[in-house]
Amino acid sequence: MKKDDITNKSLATLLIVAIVISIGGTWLVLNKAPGLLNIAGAASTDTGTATVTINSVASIRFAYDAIDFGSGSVNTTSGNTLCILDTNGTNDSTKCQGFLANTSYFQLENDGSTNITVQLLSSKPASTFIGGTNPQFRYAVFENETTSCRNGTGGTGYVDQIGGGTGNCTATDGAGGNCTVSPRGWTDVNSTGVTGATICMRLGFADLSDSLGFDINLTIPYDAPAGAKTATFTATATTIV
Amino acid sequence: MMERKIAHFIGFFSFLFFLLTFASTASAIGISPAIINLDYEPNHEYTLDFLTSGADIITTYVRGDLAPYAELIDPAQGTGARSFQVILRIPADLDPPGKRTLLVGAIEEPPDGAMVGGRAAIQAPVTLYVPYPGVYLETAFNAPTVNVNEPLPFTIHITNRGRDAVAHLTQSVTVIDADTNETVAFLEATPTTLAGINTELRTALVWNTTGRHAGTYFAEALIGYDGQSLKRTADFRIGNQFVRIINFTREATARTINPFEIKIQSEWNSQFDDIYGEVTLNGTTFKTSPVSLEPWKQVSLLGYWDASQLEPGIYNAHVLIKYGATFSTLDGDVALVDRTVVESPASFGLSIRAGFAVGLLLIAIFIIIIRRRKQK
Repeated sequence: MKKDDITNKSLATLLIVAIVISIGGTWLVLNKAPGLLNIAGAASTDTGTATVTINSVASIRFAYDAIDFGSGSVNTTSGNTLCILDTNGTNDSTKCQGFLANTSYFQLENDGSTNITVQLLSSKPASTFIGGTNPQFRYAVFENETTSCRNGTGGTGYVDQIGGGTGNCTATDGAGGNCTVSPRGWTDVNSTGVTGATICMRLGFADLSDSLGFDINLTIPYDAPAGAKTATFTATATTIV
Repeated sequence: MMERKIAHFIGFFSFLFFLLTFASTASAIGISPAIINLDYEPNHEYTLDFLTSGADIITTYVRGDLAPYAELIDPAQGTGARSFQVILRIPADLDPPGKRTLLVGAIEEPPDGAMVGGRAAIQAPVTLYVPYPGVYLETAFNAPTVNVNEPLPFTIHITNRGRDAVAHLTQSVTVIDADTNETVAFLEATPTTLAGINTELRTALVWNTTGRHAGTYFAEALIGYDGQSLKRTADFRIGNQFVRIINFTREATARTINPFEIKIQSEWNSQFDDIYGEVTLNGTTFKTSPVSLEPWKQVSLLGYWDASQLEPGIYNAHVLIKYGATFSTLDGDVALVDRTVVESPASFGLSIRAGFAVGLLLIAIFIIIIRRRKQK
């Protein structure tokens, strides 16, 4: 037998692998796309009139919906009193110990057929999510795809802060419809009301311009109570009238 | 030995299969129809059908100022995609008047076990207008931009959100030249009536622009109803079949081939196709690539100027833009300057680092090959 020939054992291995992939693929197709099984036959001689009514659909998707920094603590042995973590990869090893660095951010996508307004509500403020002395639980919003978010008048511009400055849009700006996404810089999460703060007045549905992202930033004080911490963001999308 | 390899193979593919099957793919949540606009009818019951989809566990709800009048009929709360109904009972004396909204929503469950998780909710507005006492007009006035000598249709859109009808409705449009502030046209519609309770009227008044020059104009619509009046204004332009050359490359490098950019703007309300530029510099002419130019938009044309035989100095450029049977021109100077390109220390360092990395990679591959041969 030549050295390059495939042995029977190798063939058997490849066969097993092929069978596993085939069965797995079949199982996936049957479970994820049950509609494929509904095969309809066509009438052979009769004629008919086809009518179709297309309804608008409003739909939103959390394309990335979970952030986990793992477990850790403030590095108090070096005299630190705070540990700051965010989804931009901030995880200062001199101040924090044990936590995971995180560069994944929350992503929201309009996968319907209408423009929508998006609001964001946190289930908890910093005081109940993290606790301790002066904790912070903040977020910042951006367009994940360019020109995804239009302002209240349909434009892509955004205004500076009322009263001057070049910082983030304020709540007043957002309500006035002049911000595209808001807030653009770190801002305490909104945990009051039914649907929270408006983060995009008009999120479009065109495939390459229909996505928002938001980062989160946690400031954990050394005296924050120990234990597993969880919070949930609810993104509420409403069709624009 | 072979059995172990088979076991590893199966283990690896089982793991891959597990990942493909159970990898966290966030679900969507949707509702259809996305919006419903109802005609107001006092003391009426509306039955609204909805379909929700996407997530495996969905909770539906109603919110908004009409929620007290709505009944949600969804016996399968907490399950996946399904249809459900909302019954909206409008009383005889709904107050206050104006736009009223019911939000029909669906919300998914948050992801399990996440430190910070996200969940989505979707809301379909159901709107109706409760009429105001008396006459209450909402109006919109539109003046589109056209090209010279094209008819210009002004449109006036009126909705009577009041309970009472308008017995005598007049509409007129005055056109003013923005350059001279002179009134150049007056258009008037035939007086009419307009019923109440959200009745709409759309009127088009067409202005014949023949003989009018290109430029900016100003239109003022006057809507008279039962002795009162409303005024609405709009700016518009009459376009000229002209492409303006805004600027072109003013500085280039001697003894090399330079990109040459020409920035142009359309003053026409239709698209131009196959616009290109011809640039004459120091006795030689080169062309740019052709482009399309949308109405009133700007675009840059790009060509290449061979200055490889030219010394630094000032050269006069004659730029010509061709579009259809006509053209625009602009003359100006272009400075040819000396530029010495020196590899920066940073890029030099980068090259060394890249070379070092490739070298290391080759050594690693070599070691692996030697080891495998020894094992055999």
